[in-house]
Amino acid sequence: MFSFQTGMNRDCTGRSRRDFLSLGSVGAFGLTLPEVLRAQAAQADAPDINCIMLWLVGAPSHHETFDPKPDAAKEIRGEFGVTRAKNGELFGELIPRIAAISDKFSLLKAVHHADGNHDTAQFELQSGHRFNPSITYPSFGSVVAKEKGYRNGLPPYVLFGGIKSEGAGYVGDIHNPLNIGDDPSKKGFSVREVQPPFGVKQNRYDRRQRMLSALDTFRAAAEARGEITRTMDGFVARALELVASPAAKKAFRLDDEPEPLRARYGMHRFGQSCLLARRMVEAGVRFVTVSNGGWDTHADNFSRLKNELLPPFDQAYSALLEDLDQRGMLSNTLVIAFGEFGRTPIVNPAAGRDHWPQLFPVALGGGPVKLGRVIGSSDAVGGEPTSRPVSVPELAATFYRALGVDYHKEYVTPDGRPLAIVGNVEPVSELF
Amino acid sequence: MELLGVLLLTAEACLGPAAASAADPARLEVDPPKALLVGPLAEQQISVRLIRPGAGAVDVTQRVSLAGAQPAVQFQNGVISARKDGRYRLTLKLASGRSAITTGMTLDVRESESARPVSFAAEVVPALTRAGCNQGACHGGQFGRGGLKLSLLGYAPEADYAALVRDGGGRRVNRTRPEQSLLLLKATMAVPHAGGLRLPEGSLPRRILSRWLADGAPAPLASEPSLTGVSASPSAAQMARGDRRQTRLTAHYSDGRTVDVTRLALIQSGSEGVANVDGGGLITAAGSGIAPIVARYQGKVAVVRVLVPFPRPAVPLRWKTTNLVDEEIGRGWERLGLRPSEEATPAEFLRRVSLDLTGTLPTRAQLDQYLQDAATRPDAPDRLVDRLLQTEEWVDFWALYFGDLLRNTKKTSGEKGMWALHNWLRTSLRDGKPFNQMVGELIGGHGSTVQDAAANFYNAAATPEDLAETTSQVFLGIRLQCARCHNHPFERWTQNDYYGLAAFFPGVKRKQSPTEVLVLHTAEGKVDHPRTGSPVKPHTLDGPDLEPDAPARPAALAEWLASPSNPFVARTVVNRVWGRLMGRGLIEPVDDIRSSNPPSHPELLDRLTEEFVRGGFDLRALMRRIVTSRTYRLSSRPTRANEADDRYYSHAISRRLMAEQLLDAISAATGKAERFPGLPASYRAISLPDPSLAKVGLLDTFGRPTRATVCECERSNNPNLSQSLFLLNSGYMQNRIADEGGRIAQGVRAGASAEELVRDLYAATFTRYPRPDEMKRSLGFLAEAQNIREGLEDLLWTLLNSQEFLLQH
Repeated sequence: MFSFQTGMNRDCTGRSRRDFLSLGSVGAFGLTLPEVLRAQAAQADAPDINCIMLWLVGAPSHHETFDPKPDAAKEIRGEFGVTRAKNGELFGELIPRIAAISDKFSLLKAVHHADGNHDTAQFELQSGHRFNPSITYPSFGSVVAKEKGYRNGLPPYVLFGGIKSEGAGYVGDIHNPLNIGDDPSKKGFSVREVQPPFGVKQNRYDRRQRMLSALDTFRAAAEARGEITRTMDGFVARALELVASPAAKKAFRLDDEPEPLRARYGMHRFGQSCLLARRMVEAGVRFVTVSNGGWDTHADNFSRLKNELLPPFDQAYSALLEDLDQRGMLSNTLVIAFGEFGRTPIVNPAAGRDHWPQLFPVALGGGPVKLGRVIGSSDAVGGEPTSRPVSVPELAATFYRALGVDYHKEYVTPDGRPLAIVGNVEPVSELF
Repeated sequence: MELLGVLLLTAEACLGPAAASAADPARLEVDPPKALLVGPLAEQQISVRLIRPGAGAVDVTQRVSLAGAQPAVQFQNGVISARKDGRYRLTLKLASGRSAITTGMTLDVRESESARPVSFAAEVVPALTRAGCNQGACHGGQFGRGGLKLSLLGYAPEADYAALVRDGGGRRVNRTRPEQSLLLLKATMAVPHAGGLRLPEGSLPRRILSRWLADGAPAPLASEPSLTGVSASPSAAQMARGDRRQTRLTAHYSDGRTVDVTRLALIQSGSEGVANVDGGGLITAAGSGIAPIVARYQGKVAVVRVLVPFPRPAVPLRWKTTNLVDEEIGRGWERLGLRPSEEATPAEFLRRVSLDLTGTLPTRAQLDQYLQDAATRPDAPDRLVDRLLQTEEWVDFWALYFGDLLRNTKKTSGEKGMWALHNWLRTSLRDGKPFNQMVGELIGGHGSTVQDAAANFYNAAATPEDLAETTSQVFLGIRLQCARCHNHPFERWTQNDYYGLAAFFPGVKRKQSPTEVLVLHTAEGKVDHPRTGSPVKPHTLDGPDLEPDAPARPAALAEWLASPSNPFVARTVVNRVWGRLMGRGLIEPVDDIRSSNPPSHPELLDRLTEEFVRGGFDLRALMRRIVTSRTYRLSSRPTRANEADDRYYSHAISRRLMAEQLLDAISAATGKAERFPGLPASYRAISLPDPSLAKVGLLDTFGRPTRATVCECERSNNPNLSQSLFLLNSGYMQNRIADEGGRIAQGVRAGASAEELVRDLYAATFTRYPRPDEMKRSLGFLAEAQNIREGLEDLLWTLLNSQEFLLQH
């Protein structure tokens, strides 16, 4: 029954304001495993678009990648030439392989914001919200984890790197990514924590599990300490399931990939992380972020791009797109490549480029996002948008639209404040 | 002219046998017995209870309806309204079969046909709020909705008037055909409205808006009596599950007038599992516990405290009290019908109090010593507490706590400043510096941040706004952030309060010299109110405007904060310490103190606070008071009868060890200590001055804060999948367990018996010795292993992954 009085406190989305209060008083951090399982069941028929996000931390120069200005003065165009991409665009000459497959992604060339500080801009670009010291917004991957949940016993969100801006914020640590800190290109790499500890054989590991069942006293009903013991038990069960899961074993086993393909991705951390990301998505992970740092080229922009940064990026990104395409996975996998801002048009005296949030490109494609499009443009020096500027909230709405997440949905912060996943904006419609 | 009329209110439902019995005279009680209605839209909510001597009281407000015809007065669901001025003598009557009970009340009606225009600020805005138009999710959001933006919950009537009447091309208000105003058409769904039907036919908000439009949509008045507060009646209610109780809300104005606003307020339950409330203020008890029913009206808040006892326990409460904590907690159980769990064992108490006070697991030697003491001396717990409070670990562990709150990092304060503040915290704690003095020194701190370490407070927060928020949340326990952009939606704090507090700080300047940061309190700067644009005078929360000399603005604030009469500071730290030791604050979250979030045990918080202030703000004494209570010593194992209780302390609250406790506990249990590069070997996780000095994956996986925010919630003690994977499978754990210099390797080399080694592992992890069945099983598993070393490693792995180790219990 929906009476006049009880209807009064309902919001536009039909939820009771009192739900906010009661949720708030428990705190969003109080999420428990059963809730996750419920969320998982509820999402069974959501569109299954996965995401691989290449997160270029430190902010790559757009002048040497997707937005070169070969006709500008030397101090603007820099030291490198350009190459004609397959879709007719000019790209920097050091990403030829990406240029050759520019029909497999689209470019938003005029994304912009106002935060020139790495730390806070990273939070903004991982969440779609301007950094706010009093609240940490959830990253894209954490929202997907919360909305879509586990699949095939695999965690929904995996991160290569270390959690900084990529975390769950106020939606609760339970939606943090499973973090893989080791370098997959290193010899003998394995994701240690989804298999028994090194040197512990399977029969010994089985015995350990029997011991845990027999000796972990709080598991017995008479000794249980309430909700927390059930929750912790649930996570141990999840963890052991992951260790036992053939899908997980397969996902994490990079050695199964043929040598030529591994070489095509590049035998470096970035390349092998991208390859592993593809395996994980194949096995059931929904969102993988490959965090790749070092792009903050205040000095020696050109030599660093040429010798350290662009070759692995060119190799890995193009390999990933080709590989996904060949496997028919590009139709259900959104691939995004971007950093937290762009870099200054004018080269500084240290042959570097500094922070430039006024304009930078974001590359994305796959899933429902059209390929080969170029949307927006910049002025003659690559300084300001001249057409179709895209704000960060619009960018976020675009990601979520592509991933089938209802981004107008509201979450409740631990202090009881309702917040939409993204505010009142629309996605970039030209991409769909 | 005076009219006299008689109303007969008859009940449709039957009265209980108690009420019908002539030998047992029941009576009706009406609240309020006298009512005054002023103006054509006035209404009065009443509540009627049937008092049955010996059988309690029943709310019958909803069970009566208007009988005798009296065309000028309406009565429905306990709401009275009238169309004609006069004084009415009403007789309320509850009938069942042939018996009936009556009581009387008087009603004065004035200005019922007055043509006085509707007040925008005092009537239209509350109607919009009640209808949900200006809530955060709709037009009150940062960007509004559908082109219409209103101030959140109506804190800015002038702007709302402009939005409704002037903006939007003037379509929203149609003065010639008021009923065709878009405002009304949308909210009544006469034209499509994404927000749905907000103004149902006949609702009070609709009548107010219709009348305002018919009046020609008059603008807000230049001056009106101000709202001074709201009060709820009843303000407390004890109910049984399934009971109902009508409450009503009265607004008080500066001219002495009172107005019933039950049907314009937002009334919500703070604990829906215990009690629910509908929009008309009718409360229904649903479960056991205490529920605050929070009524908000125009920024003012009143709370009805509803208590629903647990099912009556069979056993009487046997509870000897020697401590004010036990008195108040026991009183709570008595009221709620809860019974405590049994007392924890001496070993459990030792483990718990060591972890709580010092963050550190007891050693085996300490276990043996305490077991012996506990068996022979009745004062063993007190002696243990006194010893723990004097340890360096106590100093470390609480310096960590306050370091988190003050966000002490080298990133903001520099290497030297960070160490200076850390050492200042340790010295202050070790020397037992009164807490209010610490607060005063922090806020008053200036000069070199290496010399005057407390001045580093001004490195973690820099702008006047950030400093206002930090000061408020850390020391006053109040989250003021909301009031930066709009008046606080759940609380009385306004933008004036926010900027009044910020106005103590605009003169604070930081100067970087090559070796240190200088904090200066200058006469420069002012803080402007974002809406009015005019400068705001410094004023403390709930306090008057102050006019200190400009450079002495921070000093004036420090004086207010450090004063024993400050109403917030002591209460906040008492609640924080209680929350840390007991697993849940009396107010939870601990840094969200507001009238709509009342304490579970208000008298206890008052008494602890009073004692803390009287005793000179002594943190050790406060902690001693709490952990020497019997309540603190209760087992964490719930009984069947009290397992649903998660906030009345009938059993100890189990929670995961925090990151630093866990790392140190793993170091101690495995016998392989973590080393932190660049720090002396004696440094353990609880003694780290700044999280960034120790990049240990375990600490981050287990939710250590990076000190980015002032919220205690930045530290997460919640379990997650990565943590389980880490403990079960990581090389880090395996290497610890199997280390050649570790506990197992040493024990095996020393040639100890299997039985002795098992005992040692249990003592090192669970702080107790194995029970006979555990010993038997352990030895059985050991026999399955290839060798004793492997078997012991597996046993230690098992114990470290057990909840008895991972939980503070």
